[in-house]
Amino acid sequence: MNSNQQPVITTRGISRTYQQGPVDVRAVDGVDLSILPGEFTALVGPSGSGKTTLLNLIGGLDRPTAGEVVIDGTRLNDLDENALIQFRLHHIGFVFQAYNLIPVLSAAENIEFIMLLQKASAKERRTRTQQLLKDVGLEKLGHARPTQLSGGQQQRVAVARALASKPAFVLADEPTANLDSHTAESLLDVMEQLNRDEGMTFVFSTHDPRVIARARRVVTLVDGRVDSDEA
Amino acid sequence: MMLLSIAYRNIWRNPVRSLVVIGSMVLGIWGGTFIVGFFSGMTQQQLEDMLRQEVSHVQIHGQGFLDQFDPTDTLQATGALTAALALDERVESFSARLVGVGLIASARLTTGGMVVGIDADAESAVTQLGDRVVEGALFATDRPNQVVIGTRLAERLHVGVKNKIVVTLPNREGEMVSTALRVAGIYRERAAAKAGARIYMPARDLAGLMGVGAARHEVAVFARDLSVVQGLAADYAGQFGGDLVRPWNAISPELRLISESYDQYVLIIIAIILLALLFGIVNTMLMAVLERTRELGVLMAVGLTRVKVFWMILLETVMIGSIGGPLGLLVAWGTIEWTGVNGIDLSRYAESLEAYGLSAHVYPTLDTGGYVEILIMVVAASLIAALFPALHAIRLKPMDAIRSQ
Repeated sequence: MNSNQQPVITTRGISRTYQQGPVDVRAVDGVDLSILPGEFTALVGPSGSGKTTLLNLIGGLDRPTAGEVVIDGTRLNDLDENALIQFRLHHIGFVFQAYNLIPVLSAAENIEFIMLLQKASAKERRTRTQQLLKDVGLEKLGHARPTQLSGGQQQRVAVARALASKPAFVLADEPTANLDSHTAESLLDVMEQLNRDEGMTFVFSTHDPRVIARARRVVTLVDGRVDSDEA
Repeated sequence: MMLLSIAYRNIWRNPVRSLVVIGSMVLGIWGGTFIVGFFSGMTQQQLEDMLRQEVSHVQIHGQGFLDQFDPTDTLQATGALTAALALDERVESFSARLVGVGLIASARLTTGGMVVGIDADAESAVTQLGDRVVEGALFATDRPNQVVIGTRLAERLHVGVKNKIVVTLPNREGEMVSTALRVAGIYRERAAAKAGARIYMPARDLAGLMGVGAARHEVAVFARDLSVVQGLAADYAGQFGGDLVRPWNAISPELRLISESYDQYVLIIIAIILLALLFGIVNTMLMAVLERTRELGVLMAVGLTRVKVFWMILLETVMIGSIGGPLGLLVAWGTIEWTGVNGIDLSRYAESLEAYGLSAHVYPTLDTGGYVEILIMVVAASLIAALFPALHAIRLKPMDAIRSQ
């Protein structure tokens, strides 16, 4: 970790409290975290420890009840809903546990769609889509609809989609949870390679010990708090 | 462009559901449009029959004539008026009449009635009287003192063709005068025609009897097109200010009611159909949105703005509407055109229909404007129907939507 670099993600004392009937549940409780560009970080912890909530707060999908989130120098607390959508489009890539590709679009179109929202030129969209499909090893399956792809292939398309917008970092929520171990390893190879070759920052939540073993930094959450942070 | 593509593909994600909703639109629009055409045809026929046979488009009377039916209240300048009408290109035909109110008697019965003096050809051109003669003929010979009476009066008086009736009515001096007339023909009255006898005799004979010379009491005018009638009436009212000039809607409030209630019936029919359509579309689109909650959440998470999500749902609805709407209208157009030529035979109910002045053969019709109006209303209904599902979609929180099952 290079201490001279500006963090791409900074959280300062963020908390997120949910109302469950008469009880207040504090899913994230005063987390301070800095992620530097190029990190390959795993958020780990038992179920209910606040991993997904923390990812949602960092990704601007949820708002903290206390504290602040700063991404690439922008304080997310200050953005309204529409500004947040635009911010996510240009700065954050998402990979979801259940792939969540748009079923009516082909693999290539799923990737291209993000660039279309960014108003990229047709030529740029085409070139980058082909490159990303190649990066994730699916250059021959661009025309296939998600239903025609295996779980592992769909998750690779999801990774390519997350990278399509040239984001500052990629958030992946349990990316290997629905994959068998061989496919999970293969997906991790792709993510690691993108991290190594292109310096893409990855932050993922996981339970999977094999994934944890490949992370270069492991942040452990317990009851919404950072229990340990090991590089 | 990709939004359009996504919207289009989303429609065919569940082809059965989309086809069911498109099918129900086609059926609804077809049925509704056809009923509107049926009503339109029936009402137009009723209006045309009443205008043609009774009311005409414009009636011009001597001032005060309708109050007392005084034989002296003739038109101020019958010659000038008929000359102007003869030259007016808007006028299809006109009939100058003498009208007397008196007694009509046979050996069997005496009854009150209206004696109308006409020029047979001019009257036939306006009211098709000649075509409606079912027995004998309309003043077939040049012989004087001929009369044509209605079927119901003939029955009541117990007279037939060649029998005699006696007419007694006041002349311009206020004296009662009488004449015997021979029945030349019997005409078919409209079943719903106003009660009261109306008999027709040559105007020259009646003029002699009443002593009014060449003057006439009323002129019935039939225009080439219904749309020019109001202007025509206004022009003649200005030009012949001494006479009473009235267009059909002022003459017959009954006709105006038929015409206005037709518009209301049509509105009600269309409103019911559109309401059913609207709920059908809302139901389908809401299901489509609810099924795609997670997907919509993902789209919003990765950067699709709420406005675009809104448009996407709207586009899907409009696409369904733009397939179902025109198809329904096309089928309706085909049905209306076919039945408009071949007619719908309702002779089984002829008696009841004719009592209301309706024909037993209905020829549905709907003008282009009618189709356009329905199309606009269908598109508007589709858009309104899309609002609720679209608003539901944009209210979704990406985080919750992604985690939904």
